[in-house]
Amino acid sequence: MHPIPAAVYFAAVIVISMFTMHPVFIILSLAGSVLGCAVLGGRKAFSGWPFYVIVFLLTALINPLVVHRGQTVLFYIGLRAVTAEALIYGFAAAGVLVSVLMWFKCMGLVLTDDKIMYLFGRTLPKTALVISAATRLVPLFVRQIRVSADTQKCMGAGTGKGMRGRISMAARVFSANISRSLEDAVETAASMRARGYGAAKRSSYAPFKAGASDILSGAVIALLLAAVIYGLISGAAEFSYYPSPALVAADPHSLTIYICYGLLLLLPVLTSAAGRIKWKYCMSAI
Amino acid sequence: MEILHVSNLSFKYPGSDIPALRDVSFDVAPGEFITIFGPSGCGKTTLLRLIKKELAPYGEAMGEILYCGRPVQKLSAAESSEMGFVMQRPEGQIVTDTVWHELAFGLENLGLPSDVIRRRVAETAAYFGIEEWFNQKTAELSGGQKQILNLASVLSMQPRLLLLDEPSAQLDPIGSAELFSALRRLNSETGLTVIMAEHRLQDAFEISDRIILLEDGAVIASAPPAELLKTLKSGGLCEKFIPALPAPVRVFDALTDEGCEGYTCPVTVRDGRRFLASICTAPHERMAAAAESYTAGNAPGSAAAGVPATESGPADMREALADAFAAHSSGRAYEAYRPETKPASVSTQNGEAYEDAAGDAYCGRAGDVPALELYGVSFRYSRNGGDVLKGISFSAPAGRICCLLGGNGSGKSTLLSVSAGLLKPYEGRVKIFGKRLHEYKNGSLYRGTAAMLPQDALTVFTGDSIDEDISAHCRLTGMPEDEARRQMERIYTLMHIAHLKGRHPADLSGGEQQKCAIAKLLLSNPRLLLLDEPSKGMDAFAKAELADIFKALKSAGKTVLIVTHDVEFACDVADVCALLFDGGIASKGAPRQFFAGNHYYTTPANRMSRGILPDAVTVREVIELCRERTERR
Repeated sequence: MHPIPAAVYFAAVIVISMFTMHPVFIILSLAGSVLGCAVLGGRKAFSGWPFYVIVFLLTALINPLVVHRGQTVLFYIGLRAVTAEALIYGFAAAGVLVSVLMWFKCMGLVLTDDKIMYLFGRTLPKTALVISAATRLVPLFVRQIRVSADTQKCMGAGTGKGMRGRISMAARVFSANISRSLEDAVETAASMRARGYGAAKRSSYAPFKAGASDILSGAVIALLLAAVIYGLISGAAEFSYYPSPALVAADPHSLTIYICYGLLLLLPVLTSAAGRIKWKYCMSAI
Repeated sequence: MEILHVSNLSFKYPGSDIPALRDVSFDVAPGEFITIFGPSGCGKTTLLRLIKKELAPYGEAMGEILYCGRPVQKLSAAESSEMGFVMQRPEGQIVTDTVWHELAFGLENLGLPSDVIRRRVAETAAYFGIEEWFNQKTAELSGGQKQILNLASVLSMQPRLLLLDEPSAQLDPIGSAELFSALRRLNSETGLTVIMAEHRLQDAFEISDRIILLEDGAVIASAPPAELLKTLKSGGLCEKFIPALPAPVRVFDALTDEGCEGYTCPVTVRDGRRFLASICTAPHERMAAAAESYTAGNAPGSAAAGVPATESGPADMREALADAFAAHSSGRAYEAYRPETKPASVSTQNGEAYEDAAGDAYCGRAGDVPALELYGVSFRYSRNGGDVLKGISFSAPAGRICCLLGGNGSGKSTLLSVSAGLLKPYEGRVKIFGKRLHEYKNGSLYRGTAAMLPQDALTVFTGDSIDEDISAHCRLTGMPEDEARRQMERIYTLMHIAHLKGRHPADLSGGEQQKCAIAKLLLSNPRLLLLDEPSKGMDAFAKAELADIFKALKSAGKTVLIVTHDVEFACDVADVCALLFDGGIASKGAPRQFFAGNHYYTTPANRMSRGILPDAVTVREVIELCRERTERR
């Protein structure tokens, strides 16, 4: 997918998820983000699930302990009342937080480094080049340090002399590698000059070309987004938890907004599913 | 008109009295492939950099360099971009983080529009077979891939003249073969003019139109590959440069004299085979005479005399080094090995001595504890990754030089790291001198028992100069500095690197770095040396010297385990060779049986003489056997 519609999509979804406290919106966002992660990243995307569960529970349970508004008192801790409304609000806030985290994860899966670079490169070509060079250098430096430290260890440097020996060995390895990186940088600079760097006004190239499907998905995103924003302005996402939770509106206007928002959030899942069906169809045709 | 015209070019670096280039003149015609050859420090790099104005070093230059009839200093940026430059180290030249961006970098600099860049990047990537790794990160590429990428990203700018500064020096043979075949294709399919500085002549000879020999900044010979030998001979320069020439040329040189007409000097293995076949099968009057003159003047023993002039010859050095180590490590159990300083590897007289190494070297002396033993060792880098070592069992006999060969990714370096205790196998046992690795407590393994030289010799040093580095090393290891210094002086003098003490490690040439690194490893007086590609990036002269150092270490009772791609080097130094393939040992044996049993993975001399002469592996053996044949007639 082309980086621009993808970036617009995720920015919009994350912002809307962050600022709506309507339970239907939250549930839709949570469902969309979890399904999106599952479809885009597979099993690997959920390797850190305990973290999300802990964040969810902590956020949900802390709210009723610090907020004491609401009508329905469940029990007292000392003089403080723990209310059902605060607990519900806690779950809603936890839903928002976790869904936003999951959306970020989805975004990471779709907008890989080179796509982000492309987005930067259009407006800030020099910054883009610096970032590109830096993303190469950092892992390189880390790897070099690891090899150096192993080599030194193999020659007995810093072994058998306790913590101090090891620390001073590490310090030397670090400084040696810093100066080595600087030398490498001189060579890189020569290579840049040899390839005409600074000779003319630079252009910025990226291997992304907007195709028909990008335009189509861009249009769909824009349409759904417009509907949702209209809904937000008209107050479909307003919801009050205190003193007692309001009823969830179910009039045709609200339902339409819910469906539009749901479709927007499920776009990654739907396009991926459509892709799979198409593939299956193609395969059976072959 | 010639594309490049260099006349009377001299150059001096600021603060130096000795000119780096003296009166260099040559012309390059369009489509020519020229190799500039010479020992390190002869001015190859200076010459190439002067041609490319953006890289020209500061200093005093005289004479002129004309590109298409115009002085290079006055070329515009666009004209100058018609000259591409590829440097030695694959890593340092890469600017960006992804392959596609690297290919586009030069084109972006020229300010070309996206459509043009897209087309040029695509066709370049397709031409060099980069499509498969087009979207990868540059950091994930192998050395060979990196250098292909450097070449491709220069060529995407569509240069008319390509300058290469020892492009294969840091590559293994597979990587450099790929690079050279890409260069050959470019030159023959697109008529690209190429000037390459190189010291790996076997490959360069096959693709070059002309070889320019540079020594101390002056051109001393310039001839097509097949005629270079004749030029060298007429100039009296043979002695010095013969060891650097490819195997077929060396064989030809030894078996013919100047008057020998009817044969042109073979350049490739194929031509070499033809030459050998004709000379060994048909009775040939001149052969006897040729052989005689060969024994008289150019004896095989003196082939190693091509080592740059030093105070003492290599043989002397070998003995002195051996003595030094024996004195230092007296009282050790392996003392018994010391006296057998037989002129190793020259023991191939008349074919009888061929067998001697086989049985003995293979298992070491009976009853000895092997220096290194691996039993069913398996290793993988990540839980879900595949096994890199698959239940490997291997042993290196004490007091011998053992070479481990194998292609990229066969697990050679991993095996070395596992042996050195840097990586822990999930299965199997590793023993060093009969003791399990974990029995060496608290790093005691690295104090006097084993030492490892990694592929990147620079990582051995952490100081600003070799000298300062040694002092710091003594502090860190708790070695008494006086004794370490004395030991160091001795080793450095013997290895002819004493003059390098004040230099920064990064300023040394590849060969010097390796030697200094090995010298540093020897400070802790290890009994087992584990070396990863020690001959990488070295020219023939440095290699010969390194081989002598290893033989000296062996005479002093050290065990040396070398991981290498360099078949000829292994053949020269090893007592035992083993081929690692797919995480296991595929074959093992004394170098002669080992290489003679291989068909592809063997020395050029063996490939050249296979089926013509029985089991000759080194150039020296080919020559000896040939002589014998002709004498018998």
